[in-house]
Amino acid sequence: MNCEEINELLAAYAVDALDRSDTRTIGDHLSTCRKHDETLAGLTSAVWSLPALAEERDPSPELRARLLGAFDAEVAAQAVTTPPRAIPREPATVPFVRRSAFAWLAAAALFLVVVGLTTWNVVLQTSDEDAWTVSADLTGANIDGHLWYSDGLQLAVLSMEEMPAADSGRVYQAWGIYDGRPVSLGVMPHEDTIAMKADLAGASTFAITEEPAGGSPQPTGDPVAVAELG
Amino acid sequence: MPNSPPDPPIAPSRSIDIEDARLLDRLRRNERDALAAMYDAYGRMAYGLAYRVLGEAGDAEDIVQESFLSVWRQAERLDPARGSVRSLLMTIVHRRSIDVLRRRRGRPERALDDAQPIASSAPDPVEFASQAEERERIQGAMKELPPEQRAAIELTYFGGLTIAEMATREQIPLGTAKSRLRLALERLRKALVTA
Repeated sequence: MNCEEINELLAAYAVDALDRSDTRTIGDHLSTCRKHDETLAGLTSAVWSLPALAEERDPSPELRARLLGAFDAEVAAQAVTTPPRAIPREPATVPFVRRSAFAWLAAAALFLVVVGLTTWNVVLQTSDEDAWTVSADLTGANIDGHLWYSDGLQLAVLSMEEMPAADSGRVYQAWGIYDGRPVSLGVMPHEDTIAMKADLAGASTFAITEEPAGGSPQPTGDPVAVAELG
Repeated sequence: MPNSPPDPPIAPSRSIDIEDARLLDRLRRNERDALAAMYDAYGRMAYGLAYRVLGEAGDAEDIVQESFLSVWRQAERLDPARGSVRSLLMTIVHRRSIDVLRRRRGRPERALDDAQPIASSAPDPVEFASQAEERERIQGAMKELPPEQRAAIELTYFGGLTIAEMATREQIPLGTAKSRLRLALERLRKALVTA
């Protein structure tokens, strides 16, 4: 497209009324051509006023708690994504805190105190031979790893061998499958070892999908890896 | 490029800019209360927009949740001088709602990254004294538009139609559809600037 053709489509671009191909073409053009900045800014200013035309509505009271719960889980996962040592293959028999390999969990406990989940700290300070309630292989076409889950801690730990990067503009997202229904556990950082706060009690399967950046409300494709929990 | 001199820019609201800067700073520090405050301020508006597009509560709530989280995840690289937090949030809510709507219709999603800006320096209409006042002024401006231009906004922005689909639906040439939408947005902006 030349500048004139781009200019004709700027309004449609501003309201997201183009197909994928045209949107990308115009986005690429605008990233290098400054001729349209002023026009697009004016159109976008009008578009930014349009949400006010939608009547404000009360979502369910539970939405606020769900949002903050998802925030807590993601913050917790971010805080413990880089343990100083590899996770042992069979932690089910290893008590917390007794072995240095789990020193990173103590650090995680400190962080969790910061975010207000003091009960986690109490749990992590104790020895519990049965802390890990699930130990399952995590398998996929390009992913090979293992998952451990603790009901008591509501903590899932994933250890993957050379986790491949998601495609450009996409992220990995974790899901618990409950009665056949996927529930998002959050967007995953690209790390070989990940710990995430998750309540997998009642979930039959843990799955990872590749999603558009920012994650999706529901999976948009087949899993790239799954672990059977039952 | 426009054929007439540009309209005077809308004066930015210093107080709201400062509030946005503070909010982003707190979000960057992963302050839970900041996300809660943002939700309390904009949750009803975000849900109202998602519900208006989708007409269904479950998907609308999922989109609102993920959109707030998306703003938080992007907080590190957001510049409040380039647009208000509210406008960014509503842009994300709208994009995701349209994506869901288009998937329902069997068309692929547009696959625009949330972080991809529509414009880097668009004046923001957030300087209005209140959301109620803002809504009243925008609704007034919309009523002043010719019916075919109002329909262009309704069908594309709220209905999720592409400009080509709008042309088919309205049984008009594609060029006419482009012009209607362009004129509608330009008139709306002028009305808001001079109101």
